[in-house]
Amino acid sequence: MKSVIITGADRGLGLSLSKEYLNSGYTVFAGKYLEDYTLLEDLQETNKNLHIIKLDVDSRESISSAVEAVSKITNNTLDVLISNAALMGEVNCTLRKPPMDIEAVWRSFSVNALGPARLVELFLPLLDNSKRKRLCFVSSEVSCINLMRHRIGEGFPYPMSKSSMNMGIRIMFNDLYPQDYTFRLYHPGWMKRIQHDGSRSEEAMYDPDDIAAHAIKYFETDLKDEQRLVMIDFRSQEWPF
Amino acid sequence: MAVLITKQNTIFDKELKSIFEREGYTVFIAGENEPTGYIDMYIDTSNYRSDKDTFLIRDGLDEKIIREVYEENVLNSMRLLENYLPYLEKGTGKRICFLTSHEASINETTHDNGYAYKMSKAAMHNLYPMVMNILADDGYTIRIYDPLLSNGHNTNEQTKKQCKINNIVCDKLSAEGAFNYFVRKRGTEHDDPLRNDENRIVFRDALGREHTW
Repeated sequence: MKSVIITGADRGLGLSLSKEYLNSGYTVFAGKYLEDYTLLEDLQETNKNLHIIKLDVDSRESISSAVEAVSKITNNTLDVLISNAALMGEVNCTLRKPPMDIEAVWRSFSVNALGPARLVELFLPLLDNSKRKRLCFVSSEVSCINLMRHRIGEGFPYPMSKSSMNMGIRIMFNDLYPQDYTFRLYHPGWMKRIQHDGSRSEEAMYDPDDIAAHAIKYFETDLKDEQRLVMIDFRSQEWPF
Repeated sequence: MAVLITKQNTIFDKELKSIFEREGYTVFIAGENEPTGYIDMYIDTSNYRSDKDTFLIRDGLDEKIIREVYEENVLNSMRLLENYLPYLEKGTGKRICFLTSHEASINETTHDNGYAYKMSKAAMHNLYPMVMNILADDGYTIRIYDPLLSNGHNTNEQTKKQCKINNIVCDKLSAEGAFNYFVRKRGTEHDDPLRNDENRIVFRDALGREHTW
């Protein structure tokens, strides 16, 4: 049975991707970070192939424990890695409202940019043992430097971290693509927030279930131009870096 | 005209200072010779690399080095800009200049290492348009410059060769290029009043080439 790990699976896109991969016959390792969300536990009641593992991508120790947990169940292999966890939220970090919360820039970088690189580094021994070797990353339109001019919104940390993440992915791509790894970079769009009871917030445009249904096709389909690192959105459109 | 340069760590930084002085500018250096009233131009020469920034993903990320480089190139740069912005507000030039490298272009880099430097600069590349979104309406303009100087930290033969090519651009020539780029209006190099390219955030290197982000 094929295996996938999905970070930030407590709710939203991560949770919806977990459902999609379960329906596709995968053993799913769902990274849980938010203690107050129990939607994964609800999903587990009817899915014996769902394994919930505590996972904080900002902690090497936490990721190492996750590697150990996955390894025991899969006999030291992993087919697909999906880096979805991200730190968002409002911080006071813009030039017109001094003093800027500079440390928020590092926190965002450490989770959103270093987190995916830590994941790949520590899961590589398992991924090496798979024929699939697929690395998927959820990014954002705000990572596109070309498009940031005239964008509304003044918070610095999140967009900066997402460009750093893309850079890290590019370096990994240069290194690992010749070693038979394939990469997927995905912009999911503005999704409705999932509440504790599973209901959707009113704001935002897209339902995570709909986005996940599209994302899994992109993540699972072999492409003719795997040598190109591109970011694709929920409409299958390419985005520039 | 008054210029503030944030650091004097490299030969390039010192050459740049001497060129501005030669051309009649009043030059302040952060931490050494602080401005007292206003500045017209702010030049952040933060462009720190670590010799230990050579690890591959299989080697394991050296998070101490990553933090060290990020601290210098991003966090300290942001603190400096916040600190000196009030001086720019009082000046009339309102020009902000940063250093970077084409090696930190997500589109262009072919390297398999250099996580600390490249990820730090990618963060700054995203910051520049956001800064201009806030300041451009007040008359600010920005220059991003790749001095094409490399400490040759790359590991494979291909990138060593690239560094050798880049090192043809000596510090003095690169600093001259920086001065000319920093003080001119962009897009009006030929004194054509109908051309203005200030609204586009780009980076150019010491040989005048424009790079993609």
